[in-house]
Amino acid sequence: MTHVDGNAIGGLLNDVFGREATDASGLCSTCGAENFVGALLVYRAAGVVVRCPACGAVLMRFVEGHGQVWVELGGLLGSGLEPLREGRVHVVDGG
Amino acid sequence: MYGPGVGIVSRGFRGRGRGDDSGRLPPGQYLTDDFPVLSAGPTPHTPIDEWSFTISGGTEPVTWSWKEFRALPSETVTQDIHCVTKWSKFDTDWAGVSVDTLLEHVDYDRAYAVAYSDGGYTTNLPIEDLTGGKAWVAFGYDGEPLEPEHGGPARLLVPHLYFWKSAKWVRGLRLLDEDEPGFWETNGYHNYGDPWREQRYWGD
Amino acid sequence: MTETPRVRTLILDVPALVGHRAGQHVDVRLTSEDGYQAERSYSIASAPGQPLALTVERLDDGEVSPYLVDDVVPGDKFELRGPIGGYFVWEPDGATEPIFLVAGGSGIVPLMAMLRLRRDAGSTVPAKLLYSSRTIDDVIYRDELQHIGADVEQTLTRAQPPGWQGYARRVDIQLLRDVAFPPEDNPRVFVCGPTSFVEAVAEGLVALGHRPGRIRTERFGGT
Repeated sequence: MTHVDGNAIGGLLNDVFGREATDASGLCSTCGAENFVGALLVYRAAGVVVRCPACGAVLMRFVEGHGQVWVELGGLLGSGLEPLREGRVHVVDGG
Repeated sequence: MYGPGVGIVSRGFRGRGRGDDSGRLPPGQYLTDDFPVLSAGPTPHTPIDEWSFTISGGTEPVTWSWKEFRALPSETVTQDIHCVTKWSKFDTDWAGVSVDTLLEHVDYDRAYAVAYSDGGYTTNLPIEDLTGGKAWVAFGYDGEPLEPEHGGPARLLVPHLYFWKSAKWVRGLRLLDEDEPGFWETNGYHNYGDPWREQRYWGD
Repeated sequence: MTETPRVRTLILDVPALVGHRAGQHVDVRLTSEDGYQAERSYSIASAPGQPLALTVERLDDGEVSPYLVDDVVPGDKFELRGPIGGYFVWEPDGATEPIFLVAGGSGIVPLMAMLRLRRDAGSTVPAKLLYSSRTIDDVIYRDELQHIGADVEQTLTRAQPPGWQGYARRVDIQLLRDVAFPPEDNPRVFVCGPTSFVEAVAEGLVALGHRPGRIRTERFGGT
């Protein structure tokens, strides 16, 4: 199975951020490409991996378990997500 | 957001997974006959003549070309595999080189390893979980060359741990004194990942 | 409601759901008796203001869609999350640019919500739909498309009935050139379908001079 669009994780983003954020734009910290979150590449493995469509770098990772979501946004410099980009956000009650 | 709890039962829905009472199914797992493809990134398709496998962290790094790797003694094994996304598959047939065989060529005194892959994926394991006939670098599945979507040309196979430890498209091991959590282990998934103790997430 | 032999529309009674927008989807989570769970996303077919309708295609190797298409009966319950999506949506308010919608297979579903909204809202925004199906029997919303009020072009890639007036090949750059609004019209483009279809269409449109930022895509996620 290949990737889907960022649009597909709107529900997950809404659980994590309280808004679905697919219409926020995000800046790749590796190559600088700016894209709507809805246009990013989403891979589903053990968790969700979101990659830059321009360079393939990992922008976001999500792991859902125990009614929580582990979030890592280290590859993203995003206007909509900016306040959350430092470090790791541990969000309770994601599910 | 969904409501809390396990969710309402959908009448008549069975899904792909099923239970099993043979004692071979770890807690919380469901048996499947499929081989689901889960991938954290695009499939690399590394050509054989550009492929190599390196173990670093010993006195000297040791590298095998594909030809050299395939000239090593290999074995076929039948194993049950368990994915943290809750599917298990019984009696999967693999061909591979035991990690014991690879480490015979390396002079090392380390306790931990990080497996790394084309595409940037990493996963960490204690070396004792890679040795003693418990782990392979697999190049064949079901009598055929391992398909790229399942990790070919070669993947790590560590069936006694959750399958994210069995890194697809593996290209080497870094042997370390200190444990170094990998791609999933740094973001929510359990550092060790024993399916029989249901070590799925941080805190399990 | 059966749309084709493989496709069914489910009308859902969801009291708590807030209003949806055209192009959005919901996540559906099913739970079996023994606790096994599976989640998939399905596009909303109905226009905003109408009861929530999901049109689902049965994938033969799928685990959720066969249940939704073949087994669900009125009164059955399952969990929904949504409506979801602020990126792949179209709204008629203040919109003046033409919309060009390109659907592969059941990728028609979210685009149909847009066309239904455009019709119901009396929008005069020019709209074209290019819809690719395998055979005439696979065409979803066949009758309604006749009077949806947009310019509908269809292609049947696998077999065509006698006297077929539409296209008879996979969507390629020439076909896009024939059908799409020219880039100078600055259309908004929505493409939905299987991954290979979406990528071929998006690449073709960019090659024809459409700006990538005007093209919004939604790929199916497989089974």
